[in-house]
Amino acid sequence: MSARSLDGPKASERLATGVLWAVSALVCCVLLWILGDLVVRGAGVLSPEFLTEAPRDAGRAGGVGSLIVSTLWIVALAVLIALPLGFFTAVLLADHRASRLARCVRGCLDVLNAVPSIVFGLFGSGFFCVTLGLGYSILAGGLTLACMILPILIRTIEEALRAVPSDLALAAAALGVSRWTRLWRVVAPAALPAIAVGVVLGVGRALSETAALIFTSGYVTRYPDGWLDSGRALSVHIYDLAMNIPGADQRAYGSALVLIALLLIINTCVRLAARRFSARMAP
Amino acid sequence: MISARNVGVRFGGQPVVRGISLDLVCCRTTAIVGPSGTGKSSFLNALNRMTDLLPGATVEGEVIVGGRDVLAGAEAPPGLRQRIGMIFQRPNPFPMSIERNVHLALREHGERDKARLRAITEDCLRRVGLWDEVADRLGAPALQLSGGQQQRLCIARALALEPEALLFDEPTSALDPLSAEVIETLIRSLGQTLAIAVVTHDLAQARRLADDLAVFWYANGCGELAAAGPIEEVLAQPHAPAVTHYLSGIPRLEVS
Amino acid sequence: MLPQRPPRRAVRDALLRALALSSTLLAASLIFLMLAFVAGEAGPALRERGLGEFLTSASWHPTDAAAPEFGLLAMLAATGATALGALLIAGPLGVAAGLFGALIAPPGWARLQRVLIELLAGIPSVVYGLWGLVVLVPLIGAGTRSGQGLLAASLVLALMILPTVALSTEAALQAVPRELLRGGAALGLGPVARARRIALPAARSGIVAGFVLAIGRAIGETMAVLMVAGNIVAWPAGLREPLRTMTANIALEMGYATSAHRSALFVVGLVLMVAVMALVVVAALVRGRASTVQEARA
Repeated sequence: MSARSLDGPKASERLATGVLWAVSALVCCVLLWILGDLVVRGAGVLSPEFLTEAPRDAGRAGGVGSLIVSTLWIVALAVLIALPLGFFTAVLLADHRASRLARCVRGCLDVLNAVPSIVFGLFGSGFFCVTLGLGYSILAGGLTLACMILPILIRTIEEALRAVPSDLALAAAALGVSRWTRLWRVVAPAALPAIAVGVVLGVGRALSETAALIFTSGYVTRYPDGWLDSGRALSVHIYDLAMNIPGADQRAYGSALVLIALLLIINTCVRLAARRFSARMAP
Repeated sequence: MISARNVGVRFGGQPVVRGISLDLVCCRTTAIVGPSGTGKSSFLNALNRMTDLLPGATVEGEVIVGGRDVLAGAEAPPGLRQRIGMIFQRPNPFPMSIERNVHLALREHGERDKARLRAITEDCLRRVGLWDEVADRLGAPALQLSGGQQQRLCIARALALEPEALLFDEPTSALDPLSAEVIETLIRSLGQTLAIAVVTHDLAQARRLADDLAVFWYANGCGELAAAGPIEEVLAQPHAPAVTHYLSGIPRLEVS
Repeated sequence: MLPQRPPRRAVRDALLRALALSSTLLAASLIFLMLAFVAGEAGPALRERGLGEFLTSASWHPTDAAAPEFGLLAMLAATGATALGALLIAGPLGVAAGLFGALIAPPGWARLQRVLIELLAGIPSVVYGLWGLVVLVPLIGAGTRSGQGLLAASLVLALMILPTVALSTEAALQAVPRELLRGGAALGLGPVARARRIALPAARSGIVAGFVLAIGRAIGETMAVLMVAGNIVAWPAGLREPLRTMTANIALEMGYATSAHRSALFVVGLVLMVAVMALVVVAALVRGRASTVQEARA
């Protein structure tokens, strides 16, 4: 029997593979280009003074210290509000996987997650600042961001709780342990690293938010006095410097580097802490 | 003919099987038996370089097909997997229509003519005994077929490439007994014209199908070839007690 | 005989249930609260001018005291054009990158690419806007004119949605059962052929769902587009002609809008909300079809 002359199309296979390698290289290079550009243009401004002083001369001088504080307050507030709310919602959703209620709730959260951030800004500005009378304030900004990061917190915490091996919870139940204890002493600690990832994602989104904060937390650049005082977030500052203040490009880049550094620092800290915590719980 | 010379497979540096020298000859069926973990499937995968797709797997030794060592070189030589087909334990038809399952590889290897595609499809579906069952619904999803039918479809699409040899990795262990019997009958008929290797845990099946037997066994923490040859000879030879005990699971023909 | 469990246990469990239920109801009702509020604030403008004017007129002059006009059409077109442009760039590149990472690349390179793409995804949109404004716009303008416009906006948006497309493509491809790919390999198909003929068709719904998500992101993006698009209300006329998307419009005018103008901005917000809701429904339908296909296979 003669074998059919069937040789694979090696040439087109190699060409396609080459194209895919090229695309991958392109994507990686673009990213490195952007990061490199950020560092090159922004690193010159970085200094201890930059990190501690408030902006002067509309941002052409001084630093971003007050903005870092405002940003951290806003984000901390958003997490403080959204985390308990998200956690208990995730507890219910994780327990009821396929019920009608759970699917409706998830649908509502999916829609909430997709809403553009500027619409959150509209809502926050109208509802929290005007209707609830909070004015431009860190509190209003925090509440608005809490609404924004709630869906992603809930989704990741739900998955984290569900990923805990069921025999752990079953063992607890077989010992007659209450649901409350089971949750706090068994399931939640086991899910902590994954929950931390969810918190990190939420914090990342909150730190990056600009449009929702411009009209809720305010534009003022000094150190904030309290929750009800207005304060400018770092991302809003970058926007202002880039669009409205000529000659402030370098400081805008410096602020961007600080923002990205904040993201990385919080990212690693939260993940490390969670891993250390769960390592202590498990032998 | 496929000649394996001193073939071994490692995963992550740890050997699972080594030193296998075995010939697969046209028109003879070889059953590969042995306890779990002796590297039977790994060895089978080495023959058509499917080990290239197993993460962390490295292969040593030679596999001579058509006069050249197919293990040499970074990639499988073109045409290797057309010449040596493989059937897996769990039927894995593509989530497409029955005829597209057969066409897919043919088109990839350059066959475009629609009439020839249809002719080849009918021919190999007939060879596996599926034609009468599916001729009127070639466009139906392959996944709607029963397990036994799906496995026969997998054999058909391998046959479409006109192989010289077929490697079966526990082809009936995921099927019900009736379907298993159909597959066994098919393997026996294919064994008239192709070189066949069947890895099986079912010693009775080995007896039913095989002309030659290869027994894999543990030695020094790794799988090795304990015995190989025509099945009656292998069963008649003396072996280590554990091997003899294992092989006693193979029913013998009554000697009157 | 073990001491009886105090009734504290029942109280705590009831408390847990109450907390879980009330949190869930609150979380679920947020979207309705938002919708109601935005619609309520949009009400006056809608009643006064009618939805028709918003959706069919291209003239947007909200602050004209004599004859204010509230036509969204040009901005709707701008939103659509920038989103489409971004998808045309990021779609093929993202699918290619996801395919490469899932099926072709050696593990080390795949991980490197994924790490870089996740980094790309983590960069705040305002930083993309900054880079676009300082680096990309001058490049596009090539010294002769302002580079702000459709091309700049599409490129920056493409950068932002590329991770979405790439990561969801990679996830969808990795969900394809390995045995299908091995079956293809045993038939002599090379990696690209396996990807093209087996994996991509099997992962199609997941990839499409990723596209839908990416479109939603592109439509909803504000800051990056605002900073590089030029912000003149005009039909998308050319790659380097400035335009203004709906999201940018709200951001630019919210600071000083009063009464009727402000209400009109809420109308824009309402249109945006409806658009993304429709996309979410479409994405869910696509994914729903995928799961029924999965069930048929089982």
